[in-house]
Amino acid sequence: MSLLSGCKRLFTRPHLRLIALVGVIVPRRLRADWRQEWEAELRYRETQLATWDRLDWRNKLDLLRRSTSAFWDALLLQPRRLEDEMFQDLRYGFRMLRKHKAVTLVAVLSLALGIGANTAIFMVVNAVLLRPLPYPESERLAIVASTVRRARVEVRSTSYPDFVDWRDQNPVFEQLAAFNSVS
Amino acid sequence: MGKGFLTYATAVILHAVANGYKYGFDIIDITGVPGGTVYPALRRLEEAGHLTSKWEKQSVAQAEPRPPRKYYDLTRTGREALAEAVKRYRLLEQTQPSKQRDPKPSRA
Repeated sequence: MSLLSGCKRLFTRPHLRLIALVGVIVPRRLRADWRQEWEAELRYRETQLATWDRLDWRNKLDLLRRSTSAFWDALLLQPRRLEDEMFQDLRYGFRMLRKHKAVTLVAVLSLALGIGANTAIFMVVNAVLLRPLPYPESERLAIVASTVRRARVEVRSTSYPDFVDWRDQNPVFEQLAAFNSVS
Repeated sequence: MGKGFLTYATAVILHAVANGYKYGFDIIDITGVPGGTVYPALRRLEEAGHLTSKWEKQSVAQAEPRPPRKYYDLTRTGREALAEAVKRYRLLEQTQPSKQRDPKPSRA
């Protein structure tokens, strides 16, 4: 019998049961007011319909349909939950940091060293490896080198006459330029 | 709701409040906007300072009996925002009648 009466209770005023169910996701600080606002409207409408003898199954279904809109209202209140809990956690965090100053100092120094070292390394890697050369279509640039066959050594420098021959006779490169690096 | 114009739906809701439809479900009925849009808009308007909300008198609610309902009222900034919205959306003034008395809805 208790199961039957429980089921009966569930289907009595389902629109109010739905508000109670949806209210679980409303931020705690706003929940009581939110529930009261929705329940008051639904009960007022229910009372009016009962007074006018219009509380038939169609109007009861319409009350249930209206209560489903509460879900969207509750959903759009979620950002306030995050703000409330986030600020609470931040305040707690700051209190703990102020309480344990030595730990805070070690943590700050470790972070500073780590961030500083990473920044320095990334600056070098970026300049040497990642940043492209300041030329259009830099991926098409190539260094042309000559090889000494006997020694099988790649020689990165060449003579000016060789450069002139390569520039004038090569069928591969659009242009050739020579450069001299000074270390 | 930052500085800037109101959307049409929000302007319609503000206009309904100005016309005397102060309770959430009355606004839903008169505007035809669903509850999932009306209530969040009312909250945003209240945060922006265009509306204030109050609970009705406990004695009125206890007579029924039910919890007190929340009703909304326009503030001065709300009136100004509505005036601007009416200039922007020319047909807004023609969308709703002023509230004369409690309507008897044909459906809930």
